[in-house]
Amino acid sequence: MKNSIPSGVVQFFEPLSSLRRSTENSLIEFFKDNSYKEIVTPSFSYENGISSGLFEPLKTKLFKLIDKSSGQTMILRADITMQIMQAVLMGDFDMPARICYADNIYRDIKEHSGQKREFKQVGVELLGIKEKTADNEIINLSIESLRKFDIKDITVRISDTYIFERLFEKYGLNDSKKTKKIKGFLEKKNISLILKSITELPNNFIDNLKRLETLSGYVKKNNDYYNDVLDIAQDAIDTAKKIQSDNKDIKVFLDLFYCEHPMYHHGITFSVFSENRSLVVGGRYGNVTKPFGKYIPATGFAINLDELIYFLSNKEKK
Amino acid sequence: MITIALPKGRLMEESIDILNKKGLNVDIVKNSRKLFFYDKNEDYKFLIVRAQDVATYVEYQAADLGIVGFDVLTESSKDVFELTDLGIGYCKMVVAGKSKECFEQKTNNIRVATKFVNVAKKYFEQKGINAEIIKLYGSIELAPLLGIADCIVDIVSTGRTLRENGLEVLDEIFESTAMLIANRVTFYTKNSKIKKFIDIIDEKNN
Repeated sequence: MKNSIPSGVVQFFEPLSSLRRSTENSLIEFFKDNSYKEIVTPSFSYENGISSGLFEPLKTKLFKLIDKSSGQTMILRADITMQIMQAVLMGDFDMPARICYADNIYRDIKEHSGQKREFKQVGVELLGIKEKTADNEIINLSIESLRKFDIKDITVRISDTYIFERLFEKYGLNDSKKTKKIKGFLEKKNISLILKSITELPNNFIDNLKRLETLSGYVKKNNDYYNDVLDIAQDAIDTAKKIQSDNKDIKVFLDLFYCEHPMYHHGITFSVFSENRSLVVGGRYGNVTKPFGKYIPATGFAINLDELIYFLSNKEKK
Repeated sequence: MITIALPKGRLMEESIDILNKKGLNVDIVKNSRKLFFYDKNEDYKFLIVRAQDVATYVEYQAADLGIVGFDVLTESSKDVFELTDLGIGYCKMVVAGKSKECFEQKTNNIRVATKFVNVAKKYFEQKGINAEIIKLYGSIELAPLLGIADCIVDIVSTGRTLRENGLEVLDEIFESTAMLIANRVTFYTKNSKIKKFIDIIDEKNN
């Protein structure tokens, strides 16, 4: 049809198009003011060069093309983090490196899922620092970047994907079929199904799961409150407390019962919400450079620019 | 205020009974066509939707919470939290047919009639059986009798409909009860209110 555009892509008209342009510019300027340097990556990569590090569920959502000169398969950018890491490794950057970006993401999502096949992400990556200071810097920067737009009513969710990894290790449950099944249920916070359908679980394992679930909530100042889970959850507790003390006016939800399956983030992960909308997602992902032969500790966050401008535009209308 | 999507039918009635028992005072006006209502204190807004749509309303945040059978939830595979098993609305997802023989013809395609296309597909894939899935919207039990399918995948509670139509359970896929599901964002932003509602509706807490 002459007048139709593919599903999952969007045309922006005024005033949204201007809002989109100015929002992107002020985010990038703000990141640059905080010592983050911009990288612009190409829209195409060779599938071979990048696919080993790609997040597994993305592999079925790639737009693919053939490079006629080399016969190789190329993919449209489906995840910017991988490309940034590739650029950093190729460019032999000095560490720590602070990078920011604003680029389109392309994912071949099935129709009627409500998701977009093209959207713009603006974000930062902080590479080369394994200490918690990097997590704090990144989470605080994400909150500050929203404050730039006078966004209030902020809730931050802070978790650590290693909590369950440590728990599985403690109970000798690593990498079995049973563990995969448990992770699938945990990802949905479905403890009832674990009880119902997984047999022969080690003693106390379920008690520990329940404890993590019960202790999750808006962060408590009282140190003793978390005593029972300190051995596996100290990093998340410290980070949540630090973010709360740096930002007295926001709510910090410490989710100790948080699972990613398959696991994308490795370590501290977070989301930032306002007025019941998810505006920022971020966390540790240094493991993605392992397939390229080098481990670089890394954390970062991404803002879906299109979601943010819809949010800002609705706020203006109110 | 939090919004809760309820599935039209028996499950909704059972859920409202529990809420009333706990003193929430929820009353739906009989013969009304209104698709939403509130509790007496107006702490909760309830939406009346089709069971198949509950998880969609929750995923898209038209509702913060929803009550839906695990059978329907598994079929729709929506991106929501499954907070607690409410223990009501028990049924079983089964494979049924005229006899075990339909399982034994591994070399041929088995024709399976069902409302639960994704559940059936996954089940036969895991069994290593080639299945041709025929989507039907009701009276599934007729399909094997009329020869358009070798077996069916459907839910049963007492098994009476199967028996009266000359079918037997060939395998049980899973047991299903109602789950309380939550939106992945408002779970965090409205957590205190959500926890309060769980305390009210989850019979295990009493």
